[in-house]
Amino acid sequence: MKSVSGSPSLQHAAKCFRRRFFTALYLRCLPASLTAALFCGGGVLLLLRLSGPDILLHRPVFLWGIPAVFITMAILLNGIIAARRLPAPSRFIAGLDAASRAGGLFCAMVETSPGAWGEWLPPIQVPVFHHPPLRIWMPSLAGLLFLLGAGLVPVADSPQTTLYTLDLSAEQAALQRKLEVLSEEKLLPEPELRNLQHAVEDLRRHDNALEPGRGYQLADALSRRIENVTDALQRDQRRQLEELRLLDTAAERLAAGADDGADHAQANAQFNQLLDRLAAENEGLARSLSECGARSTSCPPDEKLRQLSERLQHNARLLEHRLSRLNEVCQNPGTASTMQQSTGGSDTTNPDQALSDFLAAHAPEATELNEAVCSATAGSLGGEGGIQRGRADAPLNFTGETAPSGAIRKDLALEGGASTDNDTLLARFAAAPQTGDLPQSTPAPGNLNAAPGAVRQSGRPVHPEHRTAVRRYFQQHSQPRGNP
Amino acid sequence: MTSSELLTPEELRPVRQCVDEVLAELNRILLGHEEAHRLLLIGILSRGHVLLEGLPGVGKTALVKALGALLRLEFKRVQFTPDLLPGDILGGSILQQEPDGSRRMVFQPGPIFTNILLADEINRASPKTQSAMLEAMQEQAVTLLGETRRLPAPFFVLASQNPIELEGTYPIPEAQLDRFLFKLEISGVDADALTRIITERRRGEPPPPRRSLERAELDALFHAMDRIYLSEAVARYIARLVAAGHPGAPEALPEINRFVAFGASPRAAIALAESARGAALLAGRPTVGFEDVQSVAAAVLNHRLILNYQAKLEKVTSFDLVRMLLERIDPAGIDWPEGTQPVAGRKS
Repeated sequence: MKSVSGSPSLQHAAKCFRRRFFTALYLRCLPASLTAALFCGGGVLLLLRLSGPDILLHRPVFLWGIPAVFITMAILLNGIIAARRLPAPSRFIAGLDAASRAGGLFCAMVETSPGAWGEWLPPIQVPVFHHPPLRIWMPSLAGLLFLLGAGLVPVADSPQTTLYTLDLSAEQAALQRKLEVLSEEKLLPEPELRNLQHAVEDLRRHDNALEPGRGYQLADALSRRIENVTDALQRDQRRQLEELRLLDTAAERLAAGADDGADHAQANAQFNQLLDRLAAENEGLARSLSECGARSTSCPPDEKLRQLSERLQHNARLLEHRLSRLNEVCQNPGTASTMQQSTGGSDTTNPDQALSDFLAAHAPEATELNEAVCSATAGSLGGEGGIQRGRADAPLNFTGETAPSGAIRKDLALEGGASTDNDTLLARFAAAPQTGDLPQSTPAPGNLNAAPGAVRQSGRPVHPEHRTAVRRYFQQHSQPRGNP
Repeated sequence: MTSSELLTPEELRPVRQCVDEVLAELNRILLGHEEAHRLLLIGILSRGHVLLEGLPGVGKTALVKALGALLRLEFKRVQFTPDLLPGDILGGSILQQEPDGSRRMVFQPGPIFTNILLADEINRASPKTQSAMLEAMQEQAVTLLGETRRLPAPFFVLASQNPIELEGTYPIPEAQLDRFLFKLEISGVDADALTRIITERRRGEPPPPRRSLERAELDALFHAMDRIYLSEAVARYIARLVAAGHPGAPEALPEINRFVAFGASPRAAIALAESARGAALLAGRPTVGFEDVQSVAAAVLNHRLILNYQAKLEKVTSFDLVRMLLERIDPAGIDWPEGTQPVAGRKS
């Protein structure tokens, strides 16, 4: 015997022995579990590639993730099983005792103090494992080859492989063009314009075929946002145009009646007052007026009035051009009009209808679901309510308790049950309603396609998930009454 | 000093020296039976009874006589014959006349009232006579006519029997067989030892012992035996060994189920633990190791495994089965991974 360190080295050797034992256990069971995992994973992969769902075939991470999950589970489960099969720590001490032929000294050290024998312990010998030969890995190798082969099997052609996408390219182009017009005409402040451009760029990036609803919502929100901006700009431009025309008319009247003393002074005062108000609101006009000297206190000479009139007419033409471009952008078929219908006589195809037809053809279950929901929410008997039984704002009438037979019904009208005019939703606009006394029926100067008296609707578009229901509703109610 | 404290090297050194001297003297007196001498000494240290089985003339009786001379204990020999009666061994009450003329029954102790009883050819006595020794072997006491008398301590029965010449013999009952700590098979000696016997032993007389143990030394040996530490892991190994010898037990080997009719009793586990302590003492260690258990397992278990006729038919001996148990039952109780082969470890 030779002197070795006492208990700490024994504990260290026990840990080493335990680690080797765990490794031996793990490696002993790993080939079998790994083989099973590889064959299972390969089989699932093969099935998916031959007849799997489209989404898995178009996402390799899903496709290869399934075998990876199998293999990971096999490795983890093997580790757990090996850990559970580990003997108690005291048995490792006993194993060291037997392997080192320590005569029970190591075992006794666990239970009692070795005393003087601590200096006479034999050298600790940790058992070494001879692992099984490499040929036990052959089944695992076969499983790996099977998995790789399954991954290389070509995907079978099936009608399910077609993936429908929501094409938002036209909407994106229309929005981009609107922004270009707004940018060229410098109708928007630079930061706001930049924000809108970023939003369009986000829309382009998020146009994901697997998430059409989200892309549609983005496009819808952005379209409404730009539409609000253009609506406000159009109202502002129209107002300025009208004022310029009034100013032009006043300038002409002033030039024509220069000889009439009292009227001329009064007209001159009104003209100057109008000029001051417009100049305060319109910076370009104020610059034009200062260039031609029209804002002098003295009565402007004829030449100056003529120059002022020309300048006003020039500004009016400029405004008309801007309005024309804005209207072009807003009314151009295939641009933003795809998001909302125009009632101005346009013969563009209705994308909502197309989408509705598509959903009706490819998603019959949506219709069935809709009907199931409607039937579930609707009562089967009179008085039970439901979405198919009368208007929601109809007056509610309740009766007293119902006797089993021979009862006399007495209707009792409850207060607040009837609808009021204030509660009725008449219309919904994307922008704030116009104020002032501007003529609403005046067509935009640049809108050549608009019929006289036509007002462009700017209602909210119908979401795809609601369009089938809306179409069915209108189809149902558009049938002529009285027909069987 | 508590019993859980190990013997110090200083305490163990004189004890081991004493044991070594006795063993050396025994080996000097009787040539060629070193392993039997070691096991016999272990049996004595364990205070157990030993059954020696061997052919005539191999030195069984000489071994027991030499041991008696070495230990300086009272030694008596009884030659068992078929007509031997229990009273011939245990003794009996005889009518004795006193000097005053009165008469009374006086107990006359038999030869069993000794320290070492050599029961020569014990299987030649009738079962009735053999069973007379059951109480004496287990409880070191004899009960006659309602009176129990203690036997002198220590008390050993060293019996011998002849495996041949079975005519006119009575197999030892299992109950009595189980009371023997060891059953040692005394075989013949090799040529070298035989040559030494021929040249050194005139007329076969062994030399007188040059060293004998005093009673105090023997008590010290017994005291040291009591302090040999048996750890729980080794005790568990002993228990698994004995349990695995029972057919139908969860730990039983297929060979055990096939060839064994009855397994060893709990007394066998106790005997195995005690004798392993003796082996550790002879090895000079304060603790019982797995190798100590393995070194005495065959001697303890071979006569306690009752084999069936299938074993006799296939000539499977109890030694073969014990060897299988020792080979297949891991001392540490570790279920080694299948296919892996733990080999002698590296130094840590």
